[in-house]
Amino acid sequence: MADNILEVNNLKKHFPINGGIFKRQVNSVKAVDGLNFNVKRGETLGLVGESGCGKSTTGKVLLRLLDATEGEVKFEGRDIHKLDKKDLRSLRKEMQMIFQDPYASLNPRMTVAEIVGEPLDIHNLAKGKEKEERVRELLDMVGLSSKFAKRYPHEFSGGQRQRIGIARALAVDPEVIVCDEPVSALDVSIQAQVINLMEDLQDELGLTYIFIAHDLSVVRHISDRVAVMYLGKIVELADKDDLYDTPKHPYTKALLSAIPVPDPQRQREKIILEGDVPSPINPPSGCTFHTRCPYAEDICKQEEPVFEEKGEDHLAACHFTDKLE
Amino acid sequence: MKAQVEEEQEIKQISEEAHSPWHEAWKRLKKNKLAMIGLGITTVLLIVAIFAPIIAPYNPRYAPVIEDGKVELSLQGPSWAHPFGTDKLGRDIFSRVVYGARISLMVGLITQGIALVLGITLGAIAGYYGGLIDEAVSYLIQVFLAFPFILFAIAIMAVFSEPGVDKVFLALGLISWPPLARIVRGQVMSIKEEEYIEAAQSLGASDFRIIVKHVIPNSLAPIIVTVTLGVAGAILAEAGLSFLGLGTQPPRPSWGVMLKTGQEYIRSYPYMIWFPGLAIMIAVMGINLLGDGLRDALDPKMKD
Amino acid sequence: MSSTLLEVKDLQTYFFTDRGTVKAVDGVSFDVEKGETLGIVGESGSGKSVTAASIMQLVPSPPGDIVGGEINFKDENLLDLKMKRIRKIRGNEISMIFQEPMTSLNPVYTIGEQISEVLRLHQGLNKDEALEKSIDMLEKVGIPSPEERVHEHPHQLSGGMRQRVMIAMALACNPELLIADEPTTALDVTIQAQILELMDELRDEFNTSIILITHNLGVIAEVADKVAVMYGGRIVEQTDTVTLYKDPEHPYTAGLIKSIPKIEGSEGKLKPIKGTVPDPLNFPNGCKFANRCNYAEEKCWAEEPDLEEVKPDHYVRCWRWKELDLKNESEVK
Repeated sequence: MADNILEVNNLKKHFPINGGIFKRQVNSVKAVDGLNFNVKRGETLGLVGESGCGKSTTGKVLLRLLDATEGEVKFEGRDIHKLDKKDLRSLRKEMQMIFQDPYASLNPRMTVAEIVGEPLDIHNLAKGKEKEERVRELLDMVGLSSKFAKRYPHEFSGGQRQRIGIARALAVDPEVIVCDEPVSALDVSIQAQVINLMEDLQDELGLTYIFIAHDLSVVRHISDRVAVMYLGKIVELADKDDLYDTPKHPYTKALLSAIPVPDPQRQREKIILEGDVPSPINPPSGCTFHTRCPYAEDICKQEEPVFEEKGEDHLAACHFTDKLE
Repeated sequence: MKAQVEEEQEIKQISEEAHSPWHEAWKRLKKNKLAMIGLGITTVLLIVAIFAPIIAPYNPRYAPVIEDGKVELSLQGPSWAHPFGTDKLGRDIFSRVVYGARISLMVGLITQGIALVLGITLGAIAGYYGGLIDEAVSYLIQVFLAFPFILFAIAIMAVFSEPGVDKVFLALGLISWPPLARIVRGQVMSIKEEEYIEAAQSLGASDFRIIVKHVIPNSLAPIIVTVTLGVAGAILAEAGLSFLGLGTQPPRPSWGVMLKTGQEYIRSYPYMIWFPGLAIMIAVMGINLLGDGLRDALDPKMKD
Repeated sequence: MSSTLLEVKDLQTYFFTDRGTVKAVDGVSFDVEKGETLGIVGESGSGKSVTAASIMQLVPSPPGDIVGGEINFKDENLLDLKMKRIRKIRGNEISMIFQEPMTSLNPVYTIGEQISEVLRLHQGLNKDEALEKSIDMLEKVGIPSPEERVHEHPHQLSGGMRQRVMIAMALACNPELLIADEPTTALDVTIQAQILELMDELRDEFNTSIILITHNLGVIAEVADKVAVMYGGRIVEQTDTVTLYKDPEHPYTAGLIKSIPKIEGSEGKLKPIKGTVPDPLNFPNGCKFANRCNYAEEKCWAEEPDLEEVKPDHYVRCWRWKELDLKNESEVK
């Protein structure tokens, strides 16, 4: 077994819904509902799914920006949800995040130097001249000229702002970076620049990425392994080529067939799923996908399928994997 | 690197010099004529207050002594020697109005200073932590806002056995914070949801740091507007209290006090009321114009 | 051709801002035939959405203004018409669907009331008839149990459902032209697939012409018959969809297609277009794309090329299209 930098066991995050006169908890949104997976050192694990599947919440629970309801996230063997305040602060040096919206994730009242230098202040990593030098180095690393260190975020384009966000995450020299839709707010021609930058940085610094996105083409390009989420659960997890070429879960198959491909001559069989994703407040019984699944039978309504190996290192949760030829 | 050179060119294209958000707001403010009038009036007010001893030709508290130990005639109309006339004790009204600016501005600034400390602290804590603290603070805000402002001030002043300008600071300061606290609370609650706050959390920043470095600088715009308008409100309230005899006490030359003493002569010597009245009106209008202008200029649609 | 439904000629829409005049749309021309789908692709700031808004005359004025050109719809130039006549056409003969289905529906009315309003306004139906037709339309766009849904408010529906309601509303009066501005951008892929299929079906059924505006090259490839690529307020390339993806002649088009990762997997690095879209006031003087183009020469910086017909019905705005072999990224063919 390769060296696992992160181990996630039965991770759950339920958001309580309070109601009634006494504001008692009447129900909960099961945003993340029992995840089991490992992340290997130096790899990129893609996490895909539609809106509401819990992929962003997963990212935040992995970093303990949100507390888990149940389960554990082990970083190098230590459960981060059991750390005290002081240890949690030093964990922030190991695990960082890159955000989706480069407009919202930078404080508009701070200059680029202040933004990128903030983590250095927080963790007392550098001061004065040394800090200036480090900020320059970080900006250089993400392809921005340090001449603009005194500028404010609103003077930059989306792609440039995302580079600033990446520089900030790199300031503490982290091991793991959770990337929450890092390119989906960018123009098509800029996405490729940022993806290439992230790949270069990974090679250079030996980073481990958890790459959350809804764009399956981007995820295939950047990931080593991919996990597909549906209603708070991982329904399939495999090496990216295995997953894209021979999906073992009908949801993955439908998702892949739904992507519009920039090739007008390609004829494909499209699986159009009916209806919408059910509410995570009252997820369907048994296999949560049975309400939209073209292969569903009675057993799918009653019994939750086991998340198990369907091929070599290819996990999926489905009663009828065999039916997907 | 070639790519980097190109990127530099691009940023140069966008702007020649660094523009802080404050700089942009100032540019917008400069375009607003009414706001600039307000700014002008406020500046004059400040200069008059600071340099009152130089500007005022006479002592505001005593009638000027002419020769032989005789004092200036009382109740003179406006003249070259006394542009606003003299009051019943022969004091120069112009000098009193000039010194009055000092009191008014001090009332405005000190009360808003107290309100600022109370309002930001309570509002920020309530908004950031939410829950029970928030409910308690919100309840307090509601209670304070339920009383009419001036009545509340009168009630507090009545508690003090001896009114005076120092008590006005305290009374008005103690009741001026709720609107500010409410605005800060709302701002903090919405800013708290911004992604850059989450980013700061993920960097390991403490709550204190997040509030001071991220939340407050971003809610400064509405705070500045509220405080500016609050200064005008406090000036008006001080004049009201003094007019009722509950505020600044004679012989201190507050505009409210001058109105009070002038009212006896309103029919025969109306100029005794005109000048302090006009001073209040212009000062309050000027500051309000500036406040409204700031509101437009600081509108946080800075993205484009 | 006689079956041309919409002809846009040399359209110019400018925005007069404090900082200067932004030529958001600068001399754009295209035709839409009956039953045809025209795709307009471009990035932010390309002018694609302003083009759509100009056809509907929904450009916010001030600061925007249509300063030149013609928009011939059937036999009339829309730019010459009185506002009253335009309102008759809007929502009736030409309708539009927007990117954000939540903000485009009024939250205080039921969806039935909103669809009915269009029908009563343009078709003179009475209340009951309009409601009945609304239910019909909802059924057509694939909303389950439309008799109940018609009485619901927008917030009770999911994003995909709301976009269906928008389409139902847009199609209620059987328009001849449907303008869809990023209709699926806010939606998930499985829902996007549903909506695109729906638009295809509706076109087959009603022979509606569609202008589809998007930044997504995949969506265009699936539904458009022909494509106009916009950059910096100009059309830089225009041809049928198959040719555009197979033989792009403009470096920008070729760059866009190459920069996106393939779902079948791709080898090695992505090939991005360098730089970023310039500030709208600071496009290069010559070819608008010169500062990002790998093949730009002196001439490209000095003078802007015309939109040239390089093959029948294939137009390109590039000085060097003849020499460049974009497929092999070589400067000689």
